[in-house]
Amino acid sequence: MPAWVGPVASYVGQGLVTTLLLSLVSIAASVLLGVVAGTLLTLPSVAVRAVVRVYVEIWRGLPIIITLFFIFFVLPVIGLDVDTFVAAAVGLTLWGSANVAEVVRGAVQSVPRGQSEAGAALGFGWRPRMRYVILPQATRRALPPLVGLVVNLTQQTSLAAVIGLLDVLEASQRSIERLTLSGGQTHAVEILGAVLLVFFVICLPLTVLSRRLERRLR
Amino acid sequence: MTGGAIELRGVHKAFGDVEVLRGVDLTVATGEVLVVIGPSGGGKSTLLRCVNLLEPVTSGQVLLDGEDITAPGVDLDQVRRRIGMVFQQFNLFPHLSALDNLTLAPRKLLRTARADAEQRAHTLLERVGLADKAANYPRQLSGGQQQRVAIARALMMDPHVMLFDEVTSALDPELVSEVLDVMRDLAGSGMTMLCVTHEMGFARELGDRLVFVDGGVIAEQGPPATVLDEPRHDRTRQFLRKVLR
Ligand SMILES: Nc1ncnc2c1ncn2[C@@H]1O[C@H](COP(=O)(O)OP(=O)(O)OP(=O)(O)O)[C@@H](O)[C@H]1O
Ligand SMILES: [Mg+2]
Repeated sequence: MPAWVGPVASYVGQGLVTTLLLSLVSIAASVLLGVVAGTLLTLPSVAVRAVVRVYVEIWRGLPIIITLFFIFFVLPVIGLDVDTFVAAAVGLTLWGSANVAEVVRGAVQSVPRGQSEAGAALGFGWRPRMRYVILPQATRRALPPLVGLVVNLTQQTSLAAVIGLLDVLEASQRSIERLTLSGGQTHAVEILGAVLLVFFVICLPLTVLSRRLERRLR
Repeated sequence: MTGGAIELRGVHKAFGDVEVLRGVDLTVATGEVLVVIGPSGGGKSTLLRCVNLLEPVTSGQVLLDGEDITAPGVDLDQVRRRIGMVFQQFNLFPHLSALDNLTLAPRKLLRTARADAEQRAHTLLERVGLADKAANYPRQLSGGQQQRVAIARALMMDPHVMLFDEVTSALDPELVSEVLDVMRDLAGSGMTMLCVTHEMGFARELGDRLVFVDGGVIAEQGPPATVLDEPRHDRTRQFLRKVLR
């Protein structure tokens, strides 16, 4: 093995850990917040829906990169200093939760009206009806698009490099630059190839899972 | 099993500007089987859905066992436990087996122990002729079987009154009788029943009284044989000519 591989691998490896951590945190927070927001979008109350709708439309509508810039460069101006990782996680979660909310709302509303009526006729109030009748059915419908979103979110973490987070992509790029400066070859093909492979290895099984789930639902 | 009594007093129901029920007065006595017939769009389903307040009434009162359930402050979820409802489209919970469809409400709403609920569920499934289908999911059952499960599910809550909205209309003709058999059994046990149906044979055989609903009002009512054989109103006569043909 050539001498450059060891140090680069450990450097890029650290970046990979950051990327994975960022993905996990963003995914968990997005799902948690998104399920709550999506459920709120199905409430009878117009006021509640309106507030959540604004949240969803803003963060779904803005390009993630702009949200990231906003959090990292604008918030400090008003005295809120945020750590790069936190900024990235928050930005991705705003986007992710808004999208999860839409998926959840769609899934809940796709459960036929008769289900809710049958529950109500048996004496289930809104809460137990959601819990025992609607959500179990909605979850199955929401699962395939949710897995898709998780893949998407994992891919989007690489945007965090633009606010200087030392994720796998940023680490690779710096390694390539350093190798170039030290006069040798760039080894860009090997390094970026490895990064590509890692993303592929993480996302492919999820994509396959999503397609399986979708097929099983038919 | 003894039934409860229903009374509707001047019930109006409007959807926006459209008045669907225009003053319905109706009494169903304990143990009575009331059959509701009438043309499509006449308001039969709406009438039935106003009894358990799946549709809140615009004005008027609904009384269950003498209690005004349209009064403010009434706990609707409690009231609905005393009124069973069976739908044209069955509306079984597709994610649950037949057994779990039956036990869900008693277990979650009445906190009945699982073993007790399941024992009772098996008894009721046997009563509707489906003792061997407890583990089946709705999609694994025929329409007639699904509808019998739906009836058993409603009975699990020990309702005082049962509402049936065209429960055989979505069934293949050869499956209709197995559902009607269950309803016959139920009527024989003294259950108070409100049945919207197009099965005139059933109306004649089991109905204690028949009401003809048209244009959001009760246009005619009486003993089934009388209304069916000697309708007094033109509208009733026209309708019967079409369905009996
Ligand atoms: N949720 C609703 N919103 C608006 N209009 C409604 C609603 N439900 C019923 N209607 C209208 O009320 C009228 C009566 O409907 P209903 O379902 O009670 O009739 P029906 O006698 O049961 O007819 P069918 O025999 O076709 O079932 C119809 O004109 C229908 O379009
Ligand atoms: Mg109807």
